[in-house]
Amino acid sequence: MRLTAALLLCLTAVTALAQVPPRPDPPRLVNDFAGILGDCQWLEDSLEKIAMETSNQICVVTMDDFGGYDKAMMAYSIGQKWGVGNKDNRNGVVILIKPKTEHSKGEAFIATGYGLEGAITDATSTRIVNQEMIPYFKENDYLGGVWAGAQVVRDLAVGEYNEEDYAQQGGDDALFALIMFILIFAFFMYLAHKSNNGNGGNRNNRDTGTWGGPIIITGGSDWGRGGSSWGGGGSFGGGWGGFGGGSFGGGGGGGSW
Amino acid sequence: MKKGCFGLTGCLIMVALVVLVLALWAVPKYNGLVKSQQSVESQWGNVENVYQRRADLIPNLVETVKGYAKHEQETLEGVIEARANATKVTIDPTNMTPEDLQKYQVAQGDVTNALSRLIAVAENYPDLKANQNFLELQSQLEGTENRITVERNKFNEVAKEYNTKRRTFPTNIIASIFNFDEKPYFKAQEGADVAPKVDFGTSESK
Repeated sequence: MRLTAALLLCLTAVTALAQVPPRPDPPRLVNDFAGILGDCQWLEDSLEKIAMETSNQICVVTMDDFGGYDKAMMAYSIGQKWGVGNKDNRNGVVILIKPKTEHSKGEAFIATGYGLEGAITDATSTRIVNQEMIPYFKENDYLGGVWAGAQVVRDLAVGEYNEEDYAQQGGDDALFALIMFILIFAFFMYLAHKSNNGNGGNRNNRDTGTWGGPIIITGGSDWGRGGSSWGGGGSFGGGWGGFGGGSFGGGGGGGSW
Repeated sequence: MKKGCFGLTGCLIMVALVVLVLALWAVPKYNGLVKSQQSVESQWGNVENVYQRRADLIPNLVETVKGYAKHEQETLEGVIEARANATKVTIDPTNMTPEDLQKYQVAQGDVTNALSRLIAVAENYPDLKANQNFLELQSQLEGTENRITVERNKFNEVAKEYNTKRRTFPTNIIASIFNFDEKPYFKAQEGADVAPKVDFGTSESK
């Protein structure tokens, strides 16, 4: 019964775009239709800053009711209809929240634009919702949860760190990975050293070059992470330019509590 | 003689003008149809991609479930078989009939059904439900089902746009001269042969 109902909702969802809230005018990245975020101008400012600095548009929407929509389809429809993200990069993200009430459970979903599906996979979106956001939501701290999720989304979106890094953050695997990395690095350094000392021919140089590739890349992204900073306040003339016509393909993940 | 020559030239000029006007009128209409047809075909590519994406998830999913639920051989085989059947049904987007699409939809619907049975079975195995890999695959599958819905709807939209164009006067004249065939739609299935949406119940408290 529930299955059938879910299916019917799902099928009607995309065609019935009329139920999706209209695009805010003037455009805003934080749209607290459910009124659960309180004083959240700083969140709007932060998201606009992200949009201006990185072109990634993270749009937060809260709603009391999805009007019969499945959360995934509602988030998708908002993203598509409002055109969250940049038209060419299609790098919009919609974070959709329905607060928990006495009668219904709370729901949250992160929908990713086409261009970010690689950086933020469905599994990652699901994990962000369940691990970063819902713990706050359970404490009724909606603003805190949204910001916690938005930060991870931002970091993934700018490629500040990749998904594997994120997966490791939660667990004890991080230390293990670091040790493995150092060991592997040392091993290849040893190989390189040995072959250079050994017969130093062209062929050997080429071999070590091939092996060195991935290590250099990894090092590079580490360096990039250290070098960038988010905290610095700058002055920004003008607005963030509004939604850029980004498109969505149904990617994303969510959870409920 | 001279007069006749003029007459002939005049005639030729008239004919040339008529042809030119016809061409000026027809070419943009023709090009519009071609463009619209191409967007239907490329959208079909997107539809196939998302179905393929789902097919690619299946072996992994089956392996994971197998590790925990050895006794569910029948369900597991059902998924593999449905997937194998669905892979066999392909469509030439340049020449697709409603029957082709119907067949395709039924084959993919079988996969959806088999998968939802598999997920339902998984509910009985707490260890499996707690398996990180399984959870990951579940969310990917869920996302893929969403993508399928989206791409199918987009396909219907562009197909509708094209069909409307080819049926509207005067473009329909061009369409019938150059054999622009009508494109079929995905049907929202109702009743018994409904392909149930895979309900994963991820982290849902009932």
